[in-house]
Amino acid sequence: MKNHLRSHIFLGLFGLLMGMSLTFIGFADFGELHRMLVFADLRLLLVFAGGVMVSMIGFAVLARGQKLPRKPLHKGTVAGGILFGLGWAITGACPSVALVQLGEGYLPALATMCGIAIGAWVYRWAQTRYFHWDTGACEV
Amino acid sequence: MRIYRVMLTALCALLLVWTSTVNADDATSGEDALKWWVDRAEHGGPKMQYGLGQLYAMGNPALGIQQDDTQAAVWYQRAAEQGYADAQFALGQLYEDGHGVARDERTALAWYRKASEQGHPVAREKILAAEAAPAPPASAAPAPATAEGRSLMSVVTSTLFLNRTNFWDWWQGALALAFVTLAFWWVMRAPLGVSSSWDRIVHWREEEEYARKQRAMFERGDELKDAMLAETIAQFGKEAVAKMLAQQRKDAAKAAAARGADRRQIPWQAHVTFLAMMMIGGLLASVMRGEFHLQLGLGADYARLFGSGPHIWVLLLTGGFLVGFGTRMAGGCTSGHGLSGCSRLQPGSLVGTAAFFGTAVVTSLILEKLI
Repeated sequence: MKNHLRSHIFLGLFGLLMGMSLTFIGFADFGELHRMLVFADLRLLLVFAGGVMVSMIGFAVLARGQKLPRKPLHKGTVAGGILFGLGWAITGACPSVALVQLGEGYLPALATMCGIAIGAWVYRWAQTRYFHWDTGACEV
Repeated sequence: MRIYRVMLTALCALLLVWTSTVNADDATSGEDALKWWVDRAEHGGPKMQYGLGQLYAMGNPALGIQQDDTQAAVWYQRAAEQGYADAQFALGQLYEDGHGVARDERTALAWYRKASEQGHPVAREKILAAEAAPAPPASAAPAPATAEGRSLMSVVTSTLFLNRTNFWDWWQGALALAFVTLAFWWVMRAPLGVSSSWDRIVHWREEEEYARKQRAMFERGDELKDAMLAETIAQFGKEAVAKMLAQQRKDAAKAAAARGADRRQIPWQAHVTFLAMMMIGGLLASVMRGEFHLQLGLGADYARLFGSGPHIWVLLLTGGFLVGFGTRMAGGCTSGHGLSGCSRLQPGSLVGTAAFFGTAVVTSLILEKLI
């Protein structure tokens, strides 16, 4: 139980940090995101590319010689990416941003959140029933 | 060891929040943003002056800046006199078109020449065109290629060096994202990924079932272990067994440290906390920025593209479904694939990110064309 309290505290702090960062970056602002996607303003693109670059260096230093979960390519990767991209462009939300949008006072983000919950549920149903892809989720 | 990690992470987080408040003070409302810009341009170099000139040339309602060519010319002039090529070219254009200044082709050409000498490609074209046809005024044909060249150039240079929004600069954002990604892994020993949190929450029934089975297995395992222990003590005596058990515990701890924590050990309720605090983070930060308002839309750009009214709730529900289904199908989202996967060069993440980013770009461009 003590262990669980720790999970709550740590994950809660990271959630807070992430929600605040996304707001200050403007990632949860539909207009900003849209301007990045039509290349009218490259600021967010640089944010993202810079974030990946710094993380890459960080992982190389911090996680040297450690086994981290893999993210294999499977049949659903591209198709899923396309569906997500479509949803991203019309909602301005990825799974974390939908929550941040609601926190910022954009009430319709509630609809996006419901959609995400239903979508995640339906996918697992389809995966166990029909797809059976190896998504790398079974390893630690 | 773990406590150091947590303390260091908390310290960095505090620093991050502190920088954010500094920024929020700088530009909370449009007027403040303008003041901040003018201040930067006054004290900064030609880059900043050129940037302010651009803000005036295009106008930026979000920052409360009205389109004003006269002001643009003033700031371009200051940057141009310090030898900033983009400003020299932009000022030349204002003179050529007579926007904000009296139309004067001679002065326009002089500025184009200065920019061209510094290797400004579009300025060079202008000069070549003027030299090829000295008699007819070059301004008769504002070549479309030139206009395009300028906008592309200005987009590239201005986004690399200037922030035209009242959000963080790109490098601040990049550091923040990298910090969250790395610190999450460092403390939690699991890669950051928000879509899997959703997945575990919506499957809370299965999670409970799994936890129950695991507990049952442990209990049964303990029974077996006790029986075996009693047998061993009978065979070898208490002391030898105590030594052996101590060694076993040490080995187990080492193995656990090498393997990292099992993600499954985090209960699904903690993922609810994670997402809820993300929402509170959004609330807190938007209040700090002074931009918190309850609203029934997703902002001006959303209304421009999709209109406003009850139908957007249906659209968002559908879009949300695609996001939820798609991210789980692809095995990750912007955080899981985009940040923590791409930075570890995972093949699935690289392909997945390319797929969702490409689709989002194409969709947005089509939307922009249709409206």
